[in-house]
Amino acid sequence: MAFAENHINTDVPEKDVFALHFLQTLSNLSTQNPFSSPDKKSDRVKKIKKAAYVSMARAAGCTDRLWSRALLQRAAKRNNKIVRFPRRRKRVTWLRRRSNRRDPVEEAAAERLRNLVPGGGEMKTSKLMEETAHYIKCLSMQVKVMQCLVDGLSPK
Amino acid sequence: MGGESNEGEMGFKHGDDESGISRVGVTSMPLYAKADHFFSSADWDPVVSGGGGFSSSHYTSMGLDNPGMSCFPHYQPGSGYPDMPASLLPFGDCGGGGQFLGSDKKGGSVGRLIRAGESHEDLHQVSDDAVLGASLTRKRRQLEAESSQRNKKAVEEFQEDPQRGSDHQSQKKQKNDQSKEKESSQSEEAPKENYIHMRARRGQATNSHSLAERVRREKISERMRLLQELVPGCNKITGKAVMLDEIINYVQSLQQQVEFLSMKLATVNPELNIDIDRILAKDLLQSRDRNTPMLGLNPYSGFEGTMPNLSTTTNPQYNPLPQTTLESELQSLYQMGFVSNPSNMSSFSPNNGRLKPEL
Repeated sequence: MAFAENHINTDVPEKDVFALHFLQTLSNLSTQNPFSSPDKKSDRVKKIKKAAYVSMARAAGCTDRLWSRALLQRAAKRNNKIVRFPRRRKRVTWLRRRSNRRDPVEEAAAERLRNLVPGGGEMKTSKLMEETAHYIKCLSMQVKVMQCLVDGLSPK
Repeated sequence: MGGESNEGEMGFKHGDDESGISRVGVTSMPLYAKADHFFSSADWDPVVSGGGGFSSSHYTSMGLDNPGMSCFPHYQPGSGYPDMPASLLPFGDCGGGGQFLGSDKKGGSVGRLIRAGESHEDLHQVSDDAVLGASLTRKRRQLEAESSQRNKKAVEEFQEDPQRGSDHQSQKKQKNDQSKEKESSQSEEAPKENYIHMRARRGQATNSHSLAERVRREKISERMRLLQELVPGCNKITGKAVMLDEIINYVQSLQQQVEFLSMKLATVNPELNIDIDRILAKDLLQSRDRNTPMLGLNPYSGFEGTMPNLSTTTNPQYNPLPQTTLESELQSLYQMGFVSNPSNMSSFSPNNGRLKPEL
């Protein structure tokens, strides 16, 4: 058992990386449907939202994080694209389970967190929290980017 | 008992989260109503496809469902750690309360035994390694008396353990015989309980398990601390469950914000033709090298290559906007911090042919 563990690395790239990815994804959206101005609003919203998440996953480092991988895979599945990432499934072993690693309260909350963070279904709790930290950082960055964009593009 | 406190605590948190929402700048949206709406109406859910409506159900599942817990109301999400009455801590090394499963029923009687009279332990635990164990157990008890720093100090404790590894083996028998743990509540009676030197809880097979357990808890608490710094306004919260709730609410609120902003973007930009990005992309690519992942950079080169083709084919008719608005747009985007190099921006303004109309 190791005493010291490597310190958790939850660095996220700068804001413009997110901006870049987001804008690129958005323009891809627009180029995919060149003359489709009469889009339903909800479709547009969904497309933009999806673009936001996908671009965030890409900006944060596609394969570095479990949640980004899971996100991209889910998005690609929707588009019927086959995306393969090397992924290691880690199941809670019987041995672990025996050693009372679950705390009922904490486990319930961890379950909710697993549902929130993409790709969290199969992580151990410690890994889940690491992913959550990174996910929170990326989410806040994405929110900032979108806020800036909305502010910049809204009619003065 | 645990259930009600949970409910009450969650009710309080509802109110807290409302203020939290306003803190992050989202206009007045009731958090939980929106959460359900968000997850049920979203066609493409970022997290779970088909996870609609789970948020409310998850809140109800927060209740303590371990029957043994009724004996040990000390670990509740509502009540923080620091004010735990001594009588409610039958187990010393409860740490994050992670040891309840499987040991509660027995622990109940044990706990009462312990609370009733420490003399029991005096009788049981005479050993050669009493001295060794004494200092350790005393230290452990003191450690765990401070429940808020429980997990941190478990590290120091843990670090001592390998030294006592051999002692553990000899004491394991006594450990299993006595079948109880010292607890932190009686730190004032430390001299009496000098002879308790078990570390593993009852119900644990070997020492390695308990050590692994402690390592795991330490990991989790470390990450909890990390998250605590990330989530605004969580510095005063101690207690894993409350903290986790806060984190969950924060993530939910961020996701709601993303959806809200995407709605706004859809409103603001009806044609979805954001052309400023080409300028930005080109500008950003030229003016700096960032530590972007290589995966991210490659699409740009392809993107760049197809840019001129797209501009001509995809939008044959457009009304050219005056250059002033374009430049002001660039200026505003620059001020937003998107573009770092303003000198390149002016070079794009004369490119009338390539630019598509703005909104």
